[in-house]
Amino acid sequence: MLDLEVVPERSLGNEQWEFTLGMPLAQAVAILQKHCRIIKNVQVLYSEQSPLSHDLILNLTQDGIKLMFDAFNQRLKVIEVCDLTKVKLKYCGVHFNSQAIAPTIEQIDQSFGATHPGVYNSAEQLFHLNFRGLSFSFQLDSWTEAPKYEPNFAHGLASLQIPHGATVKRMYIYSGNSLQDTKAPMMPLSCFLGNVYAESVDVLRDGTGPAGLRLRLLAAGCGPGLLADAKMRVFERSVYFGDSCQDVLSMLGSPHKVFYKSEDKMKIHSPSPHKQVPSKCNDYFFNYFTLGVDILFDANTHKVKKFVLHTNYPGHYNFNIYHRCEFKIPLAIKKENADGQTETCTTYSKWDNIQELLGHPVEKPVVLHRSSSPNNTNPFGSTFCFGLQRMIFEVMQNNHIASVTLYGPPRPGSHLRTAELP
Amino acid sequence: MNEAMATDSPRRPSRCTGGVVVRPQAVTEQSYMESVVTFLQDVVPQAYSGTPLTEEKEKIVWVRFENADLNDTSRNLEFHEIHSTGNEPPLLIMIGYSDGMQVWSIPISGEAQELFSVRHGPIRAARILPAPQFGAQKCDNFAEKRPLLGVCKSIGSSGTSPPYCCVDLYSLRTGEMVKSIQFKTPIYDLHCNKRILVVVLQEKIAAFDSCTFTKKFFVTSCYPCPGPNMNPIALGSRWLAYAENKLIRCHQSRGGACGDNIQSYTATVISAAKTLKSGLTMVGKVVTQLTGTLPSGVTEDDVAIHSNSRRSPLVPGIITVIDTETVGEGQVLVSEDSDSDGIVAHFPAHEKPVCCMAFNTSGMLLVTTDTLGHDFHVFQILTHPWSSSQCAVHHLYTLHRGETEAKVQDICFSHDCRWVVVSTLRGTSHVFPINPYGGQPCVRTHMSPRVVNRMSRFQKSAGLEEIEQELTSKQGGRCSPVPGLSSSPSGSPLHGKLNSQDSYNNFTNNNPGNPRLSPLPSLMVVMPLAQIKQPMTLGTITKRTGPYLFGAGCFSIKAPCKVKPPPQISPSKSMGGEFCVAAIFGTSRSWFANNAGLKREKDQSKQVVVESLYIISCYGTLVEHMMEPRPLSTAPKISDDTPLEMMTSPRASWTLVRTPQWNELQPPFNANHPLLLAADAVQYYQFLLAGLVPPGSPGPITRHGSYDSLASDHSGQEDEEWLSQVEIVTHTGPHRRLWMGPQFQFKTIHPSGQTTVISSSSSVLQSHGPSDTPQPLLDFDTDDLDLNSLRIQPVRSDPVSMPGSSRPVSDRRGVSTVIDAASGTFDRSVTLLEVCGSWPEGFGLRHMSSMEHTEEGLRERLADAMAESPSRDVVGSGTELQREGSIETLSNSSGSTSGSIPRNFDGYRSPLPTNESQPLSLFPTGFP
Repeated sequence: MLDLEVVPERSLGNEQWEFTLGMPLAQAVAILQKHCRIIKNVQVLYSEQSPLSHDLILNLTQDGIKLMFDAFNQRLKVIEVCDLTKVKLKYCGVHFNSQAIAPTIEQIDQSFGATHPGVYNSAEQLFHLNFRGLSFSFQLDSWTEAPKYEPNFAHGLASLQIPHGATVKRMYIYSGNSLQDTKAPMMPLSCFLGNVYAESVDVLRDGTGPAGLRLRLLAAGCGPGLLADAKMRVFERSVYFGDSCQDVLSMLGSPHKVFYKSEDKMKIHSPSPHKQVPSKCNDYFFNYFTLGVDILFDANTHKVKKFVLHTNYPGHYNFNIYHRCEFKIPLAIKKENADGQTETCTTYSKWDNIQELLGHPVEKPVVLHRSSSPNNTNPFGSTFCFGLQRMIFEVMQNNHIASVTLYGPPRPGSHLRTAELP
Repeated sequence: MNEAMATDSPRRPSRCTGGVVVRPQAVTEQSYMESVVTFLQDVVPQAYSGTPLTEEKEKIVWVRFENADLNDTSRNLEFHEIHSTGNEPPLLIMIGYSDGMQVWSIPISGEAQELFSVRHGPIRAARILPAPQFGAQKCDNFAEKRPLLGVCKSIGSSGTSPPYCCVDLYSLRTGEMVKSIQFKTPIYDLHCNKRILVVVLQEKIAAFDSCTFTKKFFVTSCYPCPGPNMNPIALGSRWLAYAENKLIRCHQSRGGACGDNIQSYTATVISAAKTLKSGLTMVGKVVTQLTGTLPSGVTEDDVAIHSNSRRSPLVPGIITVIDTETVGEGQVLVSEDSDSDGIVAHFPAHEKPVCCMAFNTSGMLLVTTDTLGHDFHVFQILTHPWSSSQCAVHHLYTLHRGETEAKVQDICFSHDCRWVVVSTLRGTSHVFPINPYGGQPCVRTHMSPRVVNRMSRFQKSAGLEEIEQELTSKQGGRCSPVPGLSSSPSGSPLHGKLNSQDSYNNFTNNNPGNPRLSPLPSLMVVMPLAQIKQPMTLGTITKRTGPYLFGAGCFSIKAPCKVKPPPQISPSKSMGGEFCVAAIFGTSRSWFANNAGLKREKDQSKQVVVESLYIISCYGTLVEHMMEPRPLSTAPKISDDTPLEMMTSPRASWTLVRTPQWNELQPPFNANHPLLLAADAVQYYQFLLAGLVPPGSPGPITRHGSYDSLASDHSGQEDEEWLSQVEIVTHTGPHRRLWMGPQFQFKTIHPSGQTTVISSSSSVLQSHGPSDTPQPLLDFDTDDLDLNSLRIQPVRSDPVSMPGSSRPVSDRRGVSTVIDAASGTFDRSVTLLEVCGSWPEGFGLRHMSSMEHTEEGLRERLADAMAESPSRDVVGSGTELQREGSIETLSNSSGSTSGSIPRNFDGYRSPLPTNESQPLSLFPTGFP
């Protein structure tokens, strides 16, 4: 049984690990995976059809804990202990819930001190006792007790009293004063772990299409050195097609992984007559998992060739590999009255809306299965790739965008050289 | 043909486009033998008779392979279709003579062409400056003069300055000198990239803007090296690495050199103690040398230079990498109180002074050597975008050359960064295999024509990476200060410089992601696979050697040193024992010389694993060496991990050395001179990049189409072009995806009302339709056993997520369930559908059978679910799908036919017009 320390408005955890409000989903998953022998049977609950309408929930079924992540920013919003019999809890080092100690109203009072009177919710038939960043819900012992605590009975005064012996049914840790209005806080410094995250990623474009990315980066130091002070740095960096490796490394730091592309299946579609010739070296990706960005470098020139932005929607094959990239992509819209107009496509745009904005259908999609071997299928089904203005949008079946690939302009030499070069 | 070649002089002083053209000569092991014989017959009479040679050679002082516009694959449009049209960039060679210099180009055809030749006194360093990067704000002041040649001559343009104190920039187009930069101290070397020109002086570095040649920044804190390179630096596309003379803790990056890990190779290295001892004396020598030379030199314009606080002793072996773009203007100062702007990394690399360093082609790796030359270090620089102290420097390899002292003069990488060649002043080139990501070079990594990923398919599917990581993190990483090293000199900076590992272990605990904080990779000690020597004994006999003795190339090739290398003749102290050589990798050009005689070799048909290695020596002879790595022949069994050995053989040679009879070849050049054409092409490309109109172009070039043309673009011919740009696999996935379980189960929440789970758009159900798998159940039984033993995940899902269900059963109906009213997140009714994986199955057939199996199971369980009371099944419509799992593989073998077939497109509710949106399937064979 887990023995966890409760820190209101902040976290739930022990010496080794801690679920902190504002923690990115991948980090919570990493903690769970690291302790897979202790924490088993974790459910990932999400809405397949409208993944933004519900929080994303990690339900630790064996431990009575639910971690609720904001559907948009995928940071930890609420920690709920939904079954106090499955976990030991302490506050300031002292247990208030264990096999020996029942989490009664008296125990809570003793451990946490005084607060506002409890609020009765008749729909749930629960009393809520609120502290800042911490709420307890009390279950009433029997049905018969309930009516006399109806809120309209003596206008709440009677509801001050939570009956003796009532035990906590659920506990919530959240940010701010009210569970209803809580939002996932900014990522705490302790969650950076030397990583760099992107607050937003703007696609820069010129006349023909994307030219590069402008990233608003968040970084916090750790360990000795100049950045040791506990302070978050926010800064903007830009990378462009044609940048060298060292350019990118200077701007964004080193990637988490480097992936060497094996053969390129999509070469079959290349208009180049030389596509059948196997290339001698392979292009390689810089994987920036915490930015949600991949950068493809050309093997010969070591220059940036493509950017791939990932939205990390649950229900996608690559879910939980990348942190969500909050991108903004200006799309050129052709309209009668105004030309040169752009509309913005974001991480949360749906593809059918974008097509409406464009005012014309996009040509035939490519079906992407992502089942990478014969003995392997992708339970989430295939996705569809649409090409548009030197960008490829990978669209899931729920019309959300799974990833966007930006590729550079066709080499200016191909059509210009014959005409223009001296 | 072959015969004609042999009799023909390889040198044809035909002046087709100005310069001399030299054809390659075939070289085989046999001709090597012949050349020795020739030597005996040839040289001895000369020595005695003293008859004047018909072909006298000029004395070569230095040789170098140059990167300029002519062979710039990224900006020279000629090479954009590289590797498919055979349009390889030429090799560009610069040869410095005791009088003047020479430039050669060797295109893929193999016909070496002389491009430039002057005799105007000794030249210490020269560079052909690449066309600069410019933009709308920054224009190139010298655009119409380019290409420019920067030279450092003994007599500068002014004539009054001391020798070698002046950089003159000559236009190869017009022949005039366009700029001259004076210094007060001698110049050692010149480096350049498309952003800056770097002038290397004693203990100082000065950088100039490549467009204007105005001063950008300068460094005055370099640690001097006794030579051959007095102030070694490495210039990448953006970074500049130099040897710093002190270590500043607050800027120090994590990692750096790992005490050479003496224990690990005591077996091969006989005497670590001896090494240390000789190192000690070496240090002493350098320090005394230093104190003598220190006060010399002030930079060109007497800037008030921050005093280097001479009281503190200089620390050898420190490397600082700066970002030339962000380092700012003026003096670059790495000190306690300076901020870290522009400092990329700052770390200890050696205990001895650094002697030579080089970035690889991508710029992620830095190879450094010290003055001893026993071991070379390969570092991977993992940057942080903000601070050098957050940067990590991983010491990936120690390349062990040998026990004797040797000075390194040249380092080069193969293009894919799997081979490093380090050449010493003895004229020996040592060929080492490395991986850009570290780890043991082996058959798997070096016998394939392309770079393979770090984890093999096997390692990945077995999840070995995670295990490995866990192990290393438990050991607290490898690079804890080696206690054994404390026997080294007390003043030794290395172990004092090492970061304490402990402070990082806390961070690595829950942090598998961050590469800068992950445990340092294990250090590999790599021995050279081949050592290619120059004929040093012959060379020392006479400066003027016979015409075709060295034309044929004389060298001995030694097999890798599993055994201790035979004692080498220690070079004499005189310059005679020193041989300037330079090496570079390139596509083979020897077919021209060999196509008739060597037909039996099938190397034209098979894909070459390693590019050819070109080595030019101080005799002016360029030799192409074929390199063929192969599994160690003594290995009992060849597997992926079998170590390598290497066969090298000379294939062709070019005699490029100039004779006094040759005319000079000086600018101004014709407009069709290769260097000028290349400069034009690259400048043109730069204009396009900057979105500017190139001068002299007939009309405004609209690179960027208007929005109109854009919007209508999709009807054009380029339509299908984007298809080839689709990226399917962008990363090495974990061996089990999160949704494959077993720890995690995926459940979807449906809005209320949608109760028909089977008809959900999930392709799972459809692809497992009854018509789908008419596969024979071949090994169903064994598979079933396997299944049972493997299956950890419960066969059916638990009743869903309604904790503490003490509420009355009557209160909940099948569909409307409020999970969480309080937080307001589940205000709608939900149904849950489980989408999750199970343990991986074996291969295709078994998979099919198990699919059948699950489908059966699914029906049964559905029936079960119907029969069960709603109290057990919280959500009446909830059902469970047992997915048979999946190992995903590295290779994206997407030609699979099983499983997902694009029929689920029907389920895709797209608002597209139907005729427009016919899906283009990646699996045309997928339909049964």
